Amino acid sequence: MEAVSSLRVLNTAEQAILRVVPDRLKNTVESLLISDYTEEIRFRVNRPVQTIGRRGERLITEHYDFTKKEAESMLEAICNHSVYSMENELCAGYVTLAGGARVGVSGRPIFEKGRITRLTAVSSFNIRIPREVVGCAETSMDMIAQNGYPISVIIASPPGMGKTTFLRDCARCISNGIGVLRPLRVAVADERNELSGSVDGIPELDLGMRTDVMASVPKHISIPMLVRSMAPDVIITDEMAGEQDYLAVSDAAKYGVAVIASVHAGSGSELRAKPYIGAAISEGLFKRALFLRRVGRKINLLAVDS
Amino acid sequence: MLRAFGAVIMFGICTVFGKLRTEKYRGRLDMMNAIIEDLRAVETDLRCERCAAPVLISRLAKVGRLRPLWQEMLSAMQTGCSYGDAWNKSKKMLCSADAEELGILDTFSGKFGAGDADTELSRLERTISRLELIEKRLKAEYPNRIKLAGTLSMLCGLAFALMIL
Repeated sequence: MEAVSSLRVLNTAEQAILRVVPDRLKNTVESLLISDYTEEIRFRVNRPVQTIGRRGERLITEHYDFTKKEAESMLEAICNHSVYSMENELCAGYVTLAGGARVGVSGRPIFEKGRITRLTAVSSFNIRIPREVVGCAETSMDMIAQNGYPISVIIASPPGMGKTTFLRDCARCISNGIGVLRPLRVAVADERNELSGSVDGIPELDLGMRTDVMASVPKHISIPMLVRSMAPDVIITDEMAGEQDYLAVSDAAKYGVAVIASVHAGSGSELRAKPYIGAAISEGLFKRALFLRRVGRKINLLAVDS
Repeated sequence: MLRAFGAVIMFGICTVFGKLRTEKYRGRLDMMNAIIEDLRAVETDLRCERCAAPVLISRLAKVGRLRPLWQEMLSAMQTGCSYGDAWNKSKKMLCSADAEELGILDTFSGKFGAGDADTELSRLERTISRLELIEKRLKAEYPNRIKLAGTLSMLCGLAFALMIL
């Protein structure tokens, strides 16, 4: 059995998570964070707390169930005691804490003219613990680049395999000149704020020294803006899907920008079956597909040229 | 001789009490004016920028009229307290405030930060309106109160002085 180091210091994201959880659960959550196995901690009103990680999922039944009052306090704490200042984030369904920890929230939305204008009665929280793995892409840069320069690549895997972690490190490597001929300008279209973990527009996670980030903006809006304003050599984006994303990526490619994107797909056939992704691959928009598998902390990649 | 001296002292003490009462009243009026102005600044920031509470308080701590209060609250909020908890820890700094306005501010502070922008703004507007009503009343009463305090203190002083003499 692996020993858990009691001397490990909590990083910024972990400290931010501890600040928002109810007092009676702080010790339990701290030991979960230190263990490094936990990837998500879920709180639901009138249910026990649930943890999800590499060793499976578990319900913490030693404490009494998460209460409605605790949910209200937790929501206030997540919003820095200013729920009114996080309305856009709450309507999008998540708030990013310092250090890049993302808290997904679920409750009762208020609709006006077909869009969510407010989220009330928040009763579920999903805290995703960012596990930055610096260096995980370094040995795979030869699959991302040709002749020392990045090419447009699609990275595919089923959910939970580490696409976001890998993409993040790709951005860092390209930006810092690791595995490529020279450091390049990287732009990250971070629609769900998972790549950068930005707080107030400033990335909390390491994306490299020459990386510009546009977070919490739909990809089809942020990609053209980044191409026009930041003149990147490479654009990196997570979870490509749909026609608008395809058109945005297609336009970026016309300007000679290499695009590295991720998509949920477990196999080549599944990838080609996706309506716009298949077309993007067939048209040569993406030169290569990388299928990613994670075994423990190791990432295995299978490259398939289009 | 001693009696005369004692009478003068008594007269002086009563006059001083009267002056203190006047100053306390004036202090209350100034405090009301300052808190209303600072809350109006919060309202503007809330409408235009929707800043989080710690940011609002840090601005007031730099440029607000009641800087000691906001600085105290900012220190509390930087340890993770909510606006309401920080207010409860710091409100003793408002020594000129009466129970009436403290009650209004307690009600406002207890819930600030828990609602959406519209709710917070309407609550803030209501609080400012209620404080302005108190301020208006205090301003109207001020001249009469000054006169009354002055007259009463002099009369008491004279009465005590005569009793001693």
